[in-house]
Amino acid sequence: MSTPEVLLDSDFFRADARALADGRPYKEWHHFVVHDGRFRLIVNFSLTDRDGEAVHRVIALARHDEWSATVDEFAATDCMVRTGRVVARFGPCEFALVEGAYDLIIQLPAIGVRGRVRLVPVSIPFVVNNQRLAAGARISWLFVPRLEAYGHVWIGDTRVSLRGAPAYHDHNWGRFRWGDNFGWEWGSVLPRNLDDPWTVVCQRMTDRHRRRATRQAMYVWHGQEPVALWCDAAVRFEHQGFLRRAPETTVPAVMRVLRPNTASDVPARLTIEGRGNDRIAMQFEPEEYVRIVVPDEVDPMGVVVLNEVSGRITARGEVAGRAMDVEASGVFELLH
Amino acid sequence: VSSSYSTDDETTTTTVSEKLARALDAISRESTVTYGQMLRRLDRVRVRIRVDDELFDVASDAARGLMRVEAVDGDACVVIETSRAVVRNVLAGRSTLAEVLRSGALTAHGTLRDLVAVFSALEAFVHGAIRSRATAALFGDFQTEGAVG
Repeated sequence: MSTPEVLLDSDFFRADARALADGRPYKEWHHFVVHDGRFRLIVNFSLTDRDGEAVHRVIALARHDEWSATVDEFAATDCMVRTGRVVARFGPCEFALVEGAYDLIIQLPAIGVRGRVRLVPVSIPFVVNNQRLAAGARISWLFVPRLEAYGHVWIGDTRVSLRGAPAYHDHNWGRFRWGDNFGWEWGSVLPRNLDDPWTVVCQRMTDRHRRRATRQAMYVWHGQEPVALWCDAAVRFEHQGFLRRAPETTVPAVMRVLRPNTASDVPARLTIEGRGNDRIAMQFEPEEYVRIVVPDEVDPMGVVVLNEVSGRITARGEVAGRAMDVEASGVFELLH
Repeated sequence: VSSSYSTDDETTTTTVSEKLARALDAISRESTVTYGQMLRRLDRVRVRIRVDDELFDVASDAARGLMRVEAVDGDACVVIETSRAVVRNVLAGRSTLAEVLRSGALTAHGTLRDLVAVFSALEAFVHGAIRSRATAALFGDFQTEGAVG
């Protein structure tokens, strides 16, 4: 099956009216990340339930000179999601899988960001179904570890032209509540040198307080092919120190009333090692982060924080008989 | 309590007191647990609020399950004075509550116990507001009603 066929077959929206109204929690989102030198664009089309109704949000983070971020909610009447297809429109933002690539249109006047980007997959996607997050909570995900982004993004009056910029896409869906007993760490690692064939994705699921990892993995691609996978005991995550830096911004803005402080547990360094016949040692050095704060759905007086962290990566090792020595850009999401 | 006033550019703007009354009503319907927390934290602590030329009270009674915006009446336990621009900036995250208190852009007078009750209830109010669809719309309207002062 070709990559476009896999995406048509697997990256479709699962949400339907019944899933959103059956009284159990439901969440689904498509997430796109573009790394291009200092430029970052993170766009998330999020569909969640609230009292049996669908809530449509676009969460967008963009960095040119500095970070801009917003969480925009759109009325259901201004949105369209096609169950069973890879197409959605949330207000003035939309995406669709067209001839094997994602066409993304964003218009977010609240932060002066607009753009039209075509994201062409250059690596084989990976799907994980129905993983346990916590008691009664499950999540599935599909990710495309590497894409090439073409098009233009305007941040204010500045136009950023993308000509094959490295990008990442994932799609998550499942039944869980923010505040259930879980945390996660997701990382997209894309080389600074476009000719470098290595791509790495890593993820770790933990309990809410990160005392126990429930599932962890690191995946490596060489060119378009997956070449190595370390799971659970074969991979080690280690946090060192604290970044000791305030977030670039916190969204939605009103959440700064509840989280005005600069304290965070973003580490100064995150080391991830895969051991076995193939081996890799990767160090992520966070440089800055944007904080997304969502209402805790278990504790009515609590919040859940997702840190979108950008930084430098070095990865060295030997994978599939090839030496690996990569300088890369990392975008990690730390949910604690 | 009046429901609207005219700004310099002659546009009619809903008063803060009316927006607050609508928000309290929405939270009482859409986020009952946090509404209960607000009531418990602010029980019978009458708060007088001046926002530019507006002056109104917030009264709460946990036993009756009511918190509402009222016309000024008698003595208040806590008196808060600020401006519409400061409220907007705090809700938009451009300033923190600590910053506007330190700068004097917002003043609050009362006994320590009552002040703690007010700020604790305010925290519960924000938790309620972010869980209430109607209140989110009110916040949005407030942010876009005019130039930020």
